[in-house]
Amino acid sequence: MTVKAIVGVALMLASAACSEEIETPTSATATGPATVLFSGTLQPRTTRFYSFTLTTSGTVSALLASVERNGVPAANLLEIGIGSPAGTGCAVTISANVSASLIPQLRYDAAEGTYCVRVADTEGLSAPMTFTIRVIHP
Amino acid sequence: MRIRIAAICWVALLAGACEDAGITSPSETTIDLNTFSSIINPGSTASREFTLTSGGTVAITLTTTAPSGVALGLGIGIPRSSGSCALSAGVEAVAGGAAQIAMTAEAATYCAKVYDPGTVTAPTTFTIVISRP
Amino acid sequence: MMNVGCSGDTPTSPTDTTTTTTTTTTVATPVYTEEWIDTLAIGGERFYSFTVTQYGTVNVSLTSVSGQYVPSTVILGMGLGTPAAETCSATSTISTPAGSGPQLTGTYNPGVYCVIVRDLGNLFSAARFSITVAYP
Repeated sequence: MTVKAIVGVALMLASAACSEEIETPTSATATGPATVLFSGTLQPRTTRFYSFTLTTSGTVSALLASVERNGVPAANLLEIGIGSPAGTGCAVTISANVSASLIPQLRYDAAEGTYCVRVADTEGLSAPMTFTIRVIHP
Repeated sequence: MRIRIAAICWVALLAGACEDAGITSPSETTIDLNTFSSIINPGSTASREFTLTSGGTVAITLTTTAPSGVALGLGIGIPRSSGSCALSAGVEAVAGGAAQIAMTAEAATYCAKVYDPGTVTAPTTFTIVISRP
Repeated sequence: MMNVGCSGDTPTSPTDTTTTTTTTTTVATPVYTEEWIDTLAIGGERFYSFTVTQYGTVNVSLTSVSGQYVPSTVILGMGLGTPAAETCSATSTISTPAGSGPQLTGTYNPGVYCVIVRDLGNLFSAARFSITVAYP
């Protein structure tokens, strides 16, 4: 076999190896979790809620990340809950009185459907507070 | 000799063919996400987002201010949709060598914020170090 | 084509027959009725959520509107949709005065839905309203 022939074969093989396409499977599409930021002002002795929809079952986590007054963090306890919208409110399935943290205070295994996260002042705030809740759901 | 030449050519061709296919060595870019320096004016705030890829302790150290000895507000929280930093906890601190605030957190996106707690009377430069797992 | 190709042969494989099945979806009639009485502020909106348990008809009726300086014939905005964020994202809307209704109706799969009522700019004082929601 001549050198030219060997080179030609090698070139073919190399081209084939380096131009081989990797096919991405089309049957499954991976989607990551969704993040919801619910932020606002909570007046004393009031509640607010935020609705969201799960298109697949999985774990919903709710984090009361911040309670502030005039931009300064406050240690006040607020009640947060996860449930379903019903009537004029959010009927909670699980809830807890918590202070702000960076670790989710609630986790809930949910099926497909519409849910809500609720924040309530049950302790009696002395003034309106700014809250921020982060919900992560499938 | 012919086999040796062929082998050399084959390797060379492979390298050439692969280069032609657009495969290159990744270039390394170093970005320092752990140090944040800026200026605080009276009544203002400055924040920096960062991401934890695993859970653990996040600590913020106010290492320097100029002028020195100025107490600044230091906090950790999560970014709002607007981009501002919603604080989970905060302290007033002067620059030092040890972390003035630390919190446990899961893998997610957070922010460190420096703010005027009422002590800033003139533009004050600062440096914080964000320590994360 | 199969007949042409096989015209000279005696088929030995089973004869294919096509069976068409028609599926009839039952549309359930409303089983539950809820009355929602609330107050609408000037320029405001309010919404009410409910859960449909089986595919069927949902009827929404704005049955009455009242209040000081509020004509009973005032036209309000009303919508039917799904709760989203801090409101009700309406997919069907109507501008309507109160009446025997239903002013909004439709067929819906099981799930959580909501009715929203809003001031279209016709209120000069807060209005007391009553809405009836009937759903399967």
